[in-house]
Amino acid sequence: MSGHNRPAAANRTLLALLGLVLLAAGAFTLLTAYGVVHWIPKAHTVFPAGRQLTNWAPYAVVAAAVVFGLLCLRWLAAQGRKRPRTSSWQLADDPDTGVTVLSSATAVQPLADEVSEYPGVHAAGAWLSGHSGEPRLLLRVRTEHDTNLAALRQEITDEALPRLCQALDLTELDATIQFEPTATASRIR
Amino acid sequence: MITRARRAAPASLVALVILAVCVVVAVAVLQQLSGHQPFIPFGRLAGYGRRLRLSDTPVIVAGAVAAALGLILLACALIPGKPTVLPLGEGDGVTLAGVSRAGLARALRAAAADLDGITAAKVRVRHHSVSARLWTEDNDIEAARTAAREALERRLTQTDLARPARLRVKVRGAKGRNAA
Repeated sequence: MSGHNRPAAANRTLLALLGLVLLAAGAFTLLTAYGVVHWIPKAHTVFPAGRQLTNWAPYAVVAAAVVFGLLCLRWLAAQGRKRPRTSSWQLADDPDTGVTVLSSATAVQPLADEVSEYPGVHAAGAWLSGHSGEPRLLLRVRTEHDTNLAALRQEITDEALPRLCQALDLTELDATIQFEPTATASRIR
Repeated sequence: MITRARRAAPASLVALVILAVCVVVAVAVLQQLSGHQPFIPFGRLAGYGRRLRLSDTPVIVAGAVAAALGLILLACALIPGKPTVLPLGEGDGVTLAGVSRAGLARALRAAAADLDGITAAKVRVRHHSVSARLWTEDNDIEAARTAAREALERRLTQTDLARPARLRVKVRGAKGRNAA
């Protein structure tokens, strides 16, 4: 499900990695300082005395700072991307008749429109990811607070999803539906 | 299909801190390289580092701080966050479905607040339990509790959570009135 909750896996991995590095560095420093580990004698100074830095060291530091800074920017930017990655599908690739390319966002728009017309539904959004051989669909549905979710889900899986599969000529579809009841009640009571 | 917190806050914080360090270091080293006075006194720092022994207190403090920060980051990464989306039952067996925890709390709160005599409702949804605190202007608190429990259970049944939540309902007399 990582594709449906995008930066979560990356955040966990990177936080764990940085945590491990910090923990290892801290533990090594402490163990050296208390004389448990003798890889570096504890009487040594932090910088070895009388050693000059090589000429290229400052350039290496600047290059490393730029690379890590850009990686951090990328990590920050990823926090804003919460939707699955969508792509274009190549439907038929017979070179004689030409190539049909379908943006997956266009392909699922009718589904989102149809579901948002269902009674009890405020709005619906659909995202299709993966490739055409192994498609994954995420359907987010904002409902009224008194909507019967089990019944709505049945309506979606019985009517809307088969119609999408038929339209896109899919034999199987790995679909996930996320309901989000809102605070408003149904329009017709 | 359970979805948990994305840990966006600790991730953004760590990314910002590293980014700031990278910018400061790059600017200072470039100042040094271009012959200006860098705003980090590299010369003095290097002299301090040549006098400081590995067993001195500042080194021990720095090591302890680094280890503690490392543990905090590991905890952020490894402890599973509160779920933001709770899984729903099997359904047709092919499609996965979930309901947002906050949304389910809103739906349950509304179901309780719509009942006659209920003046206020607070609902908390956790992974395996739902607790509702209600205030009623009815004198018969026991009847209000039964009605509220029925309404909430009906809504939970309609939601069809994969793992039925334990329901706890507490009803009190309306604020500013004595409970009968």
